[in-house]
Amino acid sequence: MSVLFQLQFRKLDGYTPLVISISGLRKRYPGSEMDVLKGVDLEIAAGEFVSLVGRSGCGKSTLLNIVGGLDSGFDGAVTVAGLDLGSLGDRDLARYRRRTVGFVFQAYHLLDHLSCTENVALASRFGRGGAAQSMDDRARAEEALEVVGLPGSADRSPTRLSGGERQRVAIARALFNRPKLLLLDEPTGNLDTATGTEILDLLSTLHLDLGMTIIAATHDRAIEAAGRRLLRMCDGVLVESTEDHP
Amino acid sequence: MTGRGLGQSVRDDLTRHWRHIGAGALGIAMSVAALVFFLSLGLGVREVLLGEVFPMDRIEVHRKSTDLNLLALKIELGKDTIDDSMVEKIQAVHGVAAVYPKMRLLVPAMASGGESLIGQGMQTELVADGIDPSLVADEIGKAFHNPRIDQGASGPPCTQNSDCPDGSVCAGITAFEPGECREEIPVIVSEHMVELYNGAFRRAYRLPKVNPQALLGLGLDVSFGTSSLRPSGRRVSRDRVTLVGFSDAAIPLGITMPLGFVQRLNRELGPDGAAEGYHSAVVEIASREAATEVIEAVERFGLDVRDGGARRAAFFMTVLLATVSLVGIVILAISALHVMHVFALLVMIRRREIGVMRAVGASRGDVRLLLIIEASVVGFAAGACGLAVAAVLSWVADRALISGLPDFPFKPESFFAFDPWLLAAGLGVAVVSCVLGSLAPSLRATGPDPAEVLSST
Repeated sequence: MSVLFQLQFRKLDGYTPLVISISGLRKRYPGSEMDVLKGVDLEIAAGEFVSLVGRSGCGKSTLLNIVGGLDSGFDGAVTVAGLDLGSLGDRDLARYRRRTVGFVFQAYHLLDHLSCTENVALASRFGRGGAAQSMDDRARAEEALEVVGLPGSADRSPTRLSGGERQRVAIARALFNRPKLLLLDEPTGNLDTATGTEILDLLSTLHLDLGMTIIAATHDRAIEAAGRRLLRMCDGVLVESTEDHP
Repeated sequence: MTGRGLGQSVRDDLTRHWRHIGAGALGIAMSVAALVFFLSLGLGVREVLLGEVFPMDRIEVHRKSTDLNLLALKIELGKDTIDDSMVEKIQAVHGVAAVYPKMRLLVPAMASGGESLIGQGMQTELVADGIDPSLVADEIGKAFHNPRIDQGASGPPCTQNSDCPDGSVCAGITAFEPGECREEIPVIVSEHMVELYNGAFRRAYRLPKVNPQALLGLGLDVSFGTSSLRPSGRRVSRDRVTLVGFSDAAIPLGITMPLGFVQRLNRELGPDGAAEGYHSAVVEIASREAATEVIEAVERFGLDVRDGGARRAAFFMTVLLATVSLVGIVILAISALHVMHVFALLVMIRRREIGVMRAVGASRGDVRLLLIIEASVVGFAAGACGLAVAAVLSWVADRALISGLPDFPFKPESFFAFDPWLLAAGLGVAVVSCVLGSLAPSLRATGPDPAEVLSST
């Protein structure tokens, strides 16, 4: 892993210890008669690797979307790195998504008309990232691809990659701006077991080597086991929080 | 959003979706082409109609008639002249560039001569007008302006022309007294007089056809103060006039002399008060757009406009241009709806992409800006194509009209007027149409949160 990449993460974490603080979080989708989240209270310290598990529809993705700033309509208080997400306007929320969090989707959501590098550096089109950027966007994107184990894929189209490779590109995109928090929604959901293991190894490396705070919503037993803390959700409520798991 | 990022995204998107966008842009380009083609045609025709046939940059005003009709006669009830204070009032009206007073010659006059041109002498009653020489300074130059004549300066006594130096003739107050050397009076006439002569007059009297240019320098002997209709007055002034040019500012039938000279003749030989006040004034308007304002102002002063159909022509052209513009705008509006449909389709196709952009850090404003800039680029390109099409079509139409139509008075070199503002407006409406067409889709695209968009794609 790039020394520069590693140093920049460590330096950032040294400045701003990340704390996620969630209190009384409720969410109801328009047209629905039931809350998806029914008063979630949660605190996560900097550098934790949290596995978020539960049955489909229990509210895992909704919780991740809210913490990731992708969903702004909720009741309750959500504070990430000192930012009250409920009070942020659209521009500030966009800056938060660009600088503070990296989000990895189960469906990758890569843009097929862009190369791997362009996908990874997509955020740079909308403004500066959070870290000091001594390199140009392409070099940083190539470095992020190297970190996720895809050196030499810079100019390839995502359509020519395997599922595992596409997910690695998606992780590289999430890492591009050196976020403090990495959120993953079923990162291995579309991958076979072997590829899923590779992704898991990558996440473990990111956590151990870079000290990143990671929250992964998953059904994957392996990822569930990899987390140092396990959160279990059921019907929109956190029902279990296990430290030093397993 | 960074400028470079915006440029990259616009380039990527337009390259990728050029088929869809091209379809929308084609409609806008054709609409702009139609709008610019017909507007430039309208403006070109208006330029000829109002600039040459019915010039609206100059109007002639005179005192409103207060005459009373009594059987075959009219009884004059008020004065029919304009004084210097009225000239100053007109000059002060917004949109007026200059005012040139005119005065009729109120002295009977007879002219004789013409042997050198048509082979036989002619004698005729003379109608004359006086105008400010600066009114025709651009056309005629200094030849029409001679302050010494206005002041009545005279040279040594004489009995015949050979007694006088070059450029002057032996003139006098009466035919029975010794004359004095005087400079020839410069006059101008309307080209319509030559057309009248070459048309009907020469045929009726079996006279030769004349070339207008050959008439320049033609001299006539004129006796002011005498007439074949009534006995001569107590004073008659014999002078010689020389034709120095042709101008539309001259009276249609008769000769036009410098205003100062006519004033002096009226004062010396005319009835009492003949030199007090002007009979009309030519008002030069700063721009055609100001014509209506100026006309309304002078009418408020109790003056009438002698426009010879200019106002009707202006009204006709205004209605025509408004109609053409309306049709063009309707076509553009339909095209803008088409663009809206195209952008709505594009936004639908790019729904996931927009969600991803927002997920990695684009704000709603960034995405709207991107879509609006794309629409502007499309609009600009479509507008430029539309202008190019209009230019080509007008060139073809011009060639066809100029070569196909027979020669006629005021036939222009081009029937189209591509004013810079029209080109800018063509580009502007294309850009605005596309931007307006993209507004609703871009607002719709950025409404939902990224989570909602990505979960549904």
